[in-house]
Amino acid sequence: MQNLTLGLVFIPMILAVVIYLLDRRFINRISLLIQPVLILMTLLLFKEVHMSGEISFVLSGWARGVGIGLRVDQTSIVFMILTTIGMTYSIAYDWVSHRDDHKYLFFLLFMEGAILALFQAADIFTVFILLELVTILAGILITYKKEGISVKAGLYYLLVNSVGMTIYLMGVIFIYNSTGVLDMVLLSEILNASAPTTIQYAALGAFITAFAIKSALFPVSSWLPLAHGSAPTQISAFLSGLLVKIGIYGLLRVMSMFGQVTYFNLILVFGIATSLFGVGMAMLQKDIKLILAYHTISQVGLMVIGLASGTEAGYLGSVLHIVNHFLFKSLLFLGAGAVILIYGTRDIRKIRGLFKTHPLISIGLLIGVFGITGAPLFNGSLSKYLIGQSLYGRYAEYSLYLINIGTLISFMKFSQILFGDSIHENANAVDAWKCGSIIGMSLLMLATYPLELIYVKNYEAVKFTTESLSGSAIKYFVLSIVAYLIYKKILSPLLKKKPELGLSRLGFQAANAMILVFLTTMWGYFLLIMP
Amino acid sequence: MIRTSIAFMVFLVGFYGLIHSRNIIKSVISLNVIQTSLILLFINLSRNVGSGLPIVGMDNLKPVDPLPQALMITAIVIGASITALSLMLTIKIFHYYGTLDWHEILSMEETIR
Repeated sequence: MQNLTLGLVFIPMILAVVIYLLDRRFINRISLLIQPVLILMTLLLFKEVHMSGEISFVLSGWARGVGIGLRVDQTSIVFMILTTIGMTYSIAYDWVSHRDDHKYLFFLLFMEGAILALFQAADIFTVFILLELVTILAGILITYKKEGISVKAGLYYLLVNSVGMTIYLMGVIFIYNSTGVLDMVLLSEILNASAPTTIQYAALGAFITAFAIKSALFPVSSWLPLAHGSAPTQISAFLSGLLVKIGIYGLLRVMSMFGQVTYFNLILVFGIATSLFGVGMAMLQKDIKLILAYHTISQVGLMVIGLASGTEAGYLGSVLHIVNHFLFKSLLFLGAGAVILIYGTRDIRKIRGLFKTHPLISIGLLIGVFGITGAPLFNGSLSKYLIGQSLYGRYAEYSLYLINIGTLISFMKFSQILFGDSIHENANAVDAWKCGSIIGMSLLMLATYPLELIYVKNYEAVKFTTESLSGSAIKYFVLSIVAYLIYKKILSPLLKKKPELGLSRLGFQAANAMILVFLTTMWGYFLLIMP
Repeated sequence: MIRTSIAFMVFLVGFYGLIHSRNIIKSVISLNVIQTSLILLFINLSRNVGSGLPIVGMDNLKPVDPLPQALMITAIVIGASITALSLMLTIKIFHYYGTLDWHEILSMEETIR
């Protein structure tokens, strides 16, 4: 088992270096062939972790807290499965143009090894090193198209996330100075034993700020639309699917390390603000990839709401929403990339009639749309139901209705591309690899819903009755009717009259000012308001 | 106490540079200043006057804590590589746009195919 976890980290990395050094056709092909092997290894680990508990060991036999430790528990194995699936479609989607590009395969495979190591890391400094590595590699991959706007987006992403990582390092410094350990298990024992001191609360504020920048919460999310809108399609899909979730993973670990729940309301406020901001901006966009990027911000807000509610149903709903969001956001991005290639434009007002000419891609997009809006019988409904149940009886529940209506309005606007007559077409642009990736992701999404139902049944904190499930289905239909009316009567005329709404370019200076404001808010709350 | 407050002041100077600078290279320099201030902070927090070197068999004194020093060497290397990468991207931006001003670059209206 230990060889399996280490193999998961080192096989992609060593293969990446070999591909880079020997630029041969046959060895480049191995990069795609090894992905099913890695998926199988993660699934074997999943079975092992659920049968015999978490796997944890320290490299070279040092004691815990002295050596570098690896730990795979039930949360990280879910993320690891998502990583391998994400890498498969990242390589396979653009296989025709990239199968001989040894530098691209090197970056992708090395990033896969780094992310798989990140989810296994057991102490906070290893997390720092690997997060920086992932940031660097993602910055390089965003600029891979070598156009002006991609380089701009990549530099912005790199600098803002590096500031975030520096703030994370500050948190590590405070924690080490006050407790003297860096291992996450030992830290959770120390921090749960008694109330955290001032310096430990300062460290918590720094950690939350750093992971908020990584996962694009409300004030500090300006890097995300630029980065996800200008990257190559499969990189956008992988970034939206997995890399923002690394911030949520960090928040999850830090919040369970500290264990006190009194500050959760602050994070809940930021989560709700993020969701509403994302949905509001997404309704006003014309560029198809920017719509999906702003929806990523909004769904990440939902995950933070689930985490910050403090209940087990919320935690479960959040983790399930991470899986579901990965599936349908990747599907939507891959489909949107295919649509852009077919029509030659990214403007959603000019794309019509996809269903008549490309039925398979449009069915894939429809499955993604049903998933993200939470339609019954699709996997989005389960995670949204769980998150809604975690906020039961609090005022925050009404914000979920607003978020769902906003998502529905925006995706009704999005699905206008499927109807109508075909205006302008370049039908041969989508080859078998792209179409196959889209079909594969939609089948995977449909297959995940029963698996999630089985996974959730084991938790007694989750209550399902037929009344509650049919209640959520009825709520969905009512909300969609309301959303349709709002779209037709209010949003469409508004956008026709004022088409320039929705362009927001938060400058680099303003983004850093927002980071400082967020950090000061966190510190002010923890150091002044809480005691 | 004085040393930690100096480190905090350097941190705030770095952040001021990030918020205020219109030139990309000044932003990269400010990021470096912030990282330097954290290295300074950590080394000073683990300072122990009168203790020995952390090498086995060196002298009979209690050794100073070597872990912060190792972590900070790693952090210096990571900072250097991020600076290298961002400067390379800055050169590319200058090739594409001919300017190094954040306001001009971010407010250019261009579509991407």
